[in-house]
This record gives sequence, structure tokens and C-alpha cells, in this order.
Amino acid sequence: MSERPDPGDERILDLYRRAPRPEPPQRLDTAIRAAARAELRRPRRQWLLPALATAAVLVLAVNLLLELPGVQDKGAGRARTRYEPAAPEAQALPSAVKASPPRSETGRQREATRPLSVPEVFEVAPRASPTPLAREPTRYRMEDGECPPVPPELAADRALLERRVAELLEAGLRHEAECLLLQLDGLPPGGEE
Amino acid sequence: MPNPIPVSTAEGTPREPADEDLMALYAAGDADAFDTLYERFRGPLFRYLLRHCESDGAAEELFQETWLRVVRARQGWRPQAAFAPWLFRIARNLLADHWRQRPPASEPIDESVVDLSFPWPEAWTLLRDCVERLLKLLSGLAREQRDAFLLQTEGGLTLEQIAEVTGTGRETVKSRLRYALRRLRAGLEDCDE
Repeated sequence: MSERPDPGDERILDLYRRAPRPEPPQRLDTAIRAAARAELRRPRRQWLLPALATAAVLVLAVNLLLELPGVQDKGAGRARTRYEPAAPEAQALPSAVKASPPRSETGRQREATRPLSVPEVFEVAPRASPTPLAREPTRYRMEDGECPPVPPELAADRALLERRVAELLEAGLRHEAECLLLQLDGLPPGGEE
Repeated sequence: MPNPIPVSTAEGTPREPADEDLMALYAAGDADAFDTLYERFRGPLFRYLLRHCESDGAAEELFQETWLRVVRARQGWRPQAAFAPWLFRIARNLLADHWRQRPPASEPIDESVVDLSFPWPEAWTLLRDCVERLLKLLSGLAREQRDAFLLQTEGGLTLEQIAEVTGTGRETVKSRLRYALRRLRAGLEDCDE
């Protein structure tokens, strides 16, 4: 206290100092000191287990969330995909080209540097190919684990099918590649070129 | 630790190292540091609880639980915190729980709490009477006033620290102390010599 107590208060405090000064019993001293020493022998990192458990639960929750179809449709996941033919007007390349407005050079450059989404990987490969499929690009949509119907041109051409399988594998699309491989089983060796 | 009214905080033990350093040493695994700290505060804390409680048994129980909480909290100890207010806040919280379970309104005072049975020299008879009356007056004070008086005299806490421990303002603490001392002085007017 910053203020000095007055003499009357000092007298009270002096009296209090002269009062008996009881102390805790010896058995309490012994018990408390023993408890203090026992606490030191306990491992210090006991908080680590609950923290790790919490982190594991969080990781699982995030994974589950990413597996939800709604989240995958935004382009995050690749596990479940399905081939889906594009609408007829989009399948015809010339009309699609006509319909699209002319793009500037910078726009094309920007598109070239932009990371490709999964559907685009499917689309770009046929365009680079000189096969008939290049004129009829197929769009695919990831939805579930089913194998989509394979376009007839692709189903009849073993070499083309093998090339597409290789492209899909290179793009990391194992499920789609496996779907096409199922078609390969039904084609004669060598196929049609 | 500030000790404006030199009553009983250190019990004759050396002032160095500081309480906070000792607690930090104990938190780091030094059992001897705890012993030193315990030796410093065992008497003041026990008397603080004893003067508040209706029986020795309750005071001992609260005393032991207070220290066990200190021991368990060693890993969370922050060296920048002051030890004495922290210790007395733990004790006071336990007291509050105790009071909630056992309302003290009209409980008779346990005479063992005011134990004046040790041998007094004949010349000190008046002093003995005064001390006895002081302790009875103290136990008859309102709880908040007694608390402020004991936190200052036994805990050696400053007005600010008492305010922090009791969750009130400095001026409130000051007024409680003033009122407590006035009550005690009024009952001990013939003890001025």
C-alpha cells in the first residue's frame, strides 16, 4: 500500500503480528512435497497425444469434405470421373470455332499458361491428334466411378484407343484409362488404323 | 514480492531468489525450488485459509488442494506473472467454492481457530486479551473486509494485487481495508497501550 497506515492502524497490525501463528501440520507438508516431486516424474509432453489426435481428426474431416461430389465438381478431385459426350452443337468443331469470338494474342498466351482443368485435358489431346476425333471433341464430366460410353470411332480403332489410354495415364487419369482398356479387350489385335 | 506491511510473507527465509524464479525453476524440474517456495508461503497461506474457515479440517483441505493445483499448473506457469497473487487467487477461488457449498452466515466460531492456549507470561495478560479479541473481531468482519485484511497482512499483497485477486477496483479494496481496520480499532480501544 502506498499510503502509510495511521498509528491506530499500526497498533492493530502490531497486535495481529503478535497473535499465534498456526502452521500446517507436518503430514500436509510431507504430502504436498511428495506430490510436487511426483509431478516432476510425470512425462512433460502429455498434451502431445490429444493434440495429435485432434490434428488427425481434422485431416480426416478435410479429406471427407473434399470427397463430397459438390466439392469435386469445382475441379478439386479426380477420383471419380465419367465420360460424357458434349452437346451436339459443341461436338461439331467448325461450328464451335465459328461461334467463338476471335481471341487476342495475349488472351491466347494467357490461356496457354493457365493450368488445365481435368475436362480440358480430355479435350486438348484429341485436338492435337490428326484423327477424326480431333474434329469431334468429347467433353467429360467427373461424377462417379462408372465407365461412360466410349465414342464409336474410338471403340473401333485399337491404335487410337491405345494412344488415348496412354494420354490419360500421362494425365494421371487412371480410372478413365482403365475404362478405355476395357474396350481394348474386345478389339482384335492391331485394330483398324 | 512487495510487502508493504512486513507481517509474514517470507517467514524469515531469504528473499532471493524471487518467488517467480523459484516457480520457473520448479516448472523446469527443480524440486528443491518448490521446497523453498513452499517454505515461504506455507504459513501465510495456511493462516489465510484458517482465518477464513470455520474449522481446521476445512482449512487443511483447502490448503492441500491449493498446493496441488500449483503443482499441476507448473507447465502452464508464465514467468512474467507474480506468484503470490496467483497463489492466493487459487486459494480464494477454492474458498469461494467452499463457501458456496457451506453458507457461513450464522455458523458458530470454532474456538480452535482462535487458539491462544500457548503459555503467556503474566505480564502479557492484557496483550493476550487484546490479541484474543482481535482474532474474534477479525472472524466477525464481513467476508470481503476480512479477505482484504488477510490478503494484505498474510499474503503481503499490494492494493492493486488485492484488487486483481478479488476482481474489484483498487479504491474498493482501500475502502474495505479502511472499514476493517476501523471495526477492529473500535473493538480494541483499551488496547492502545
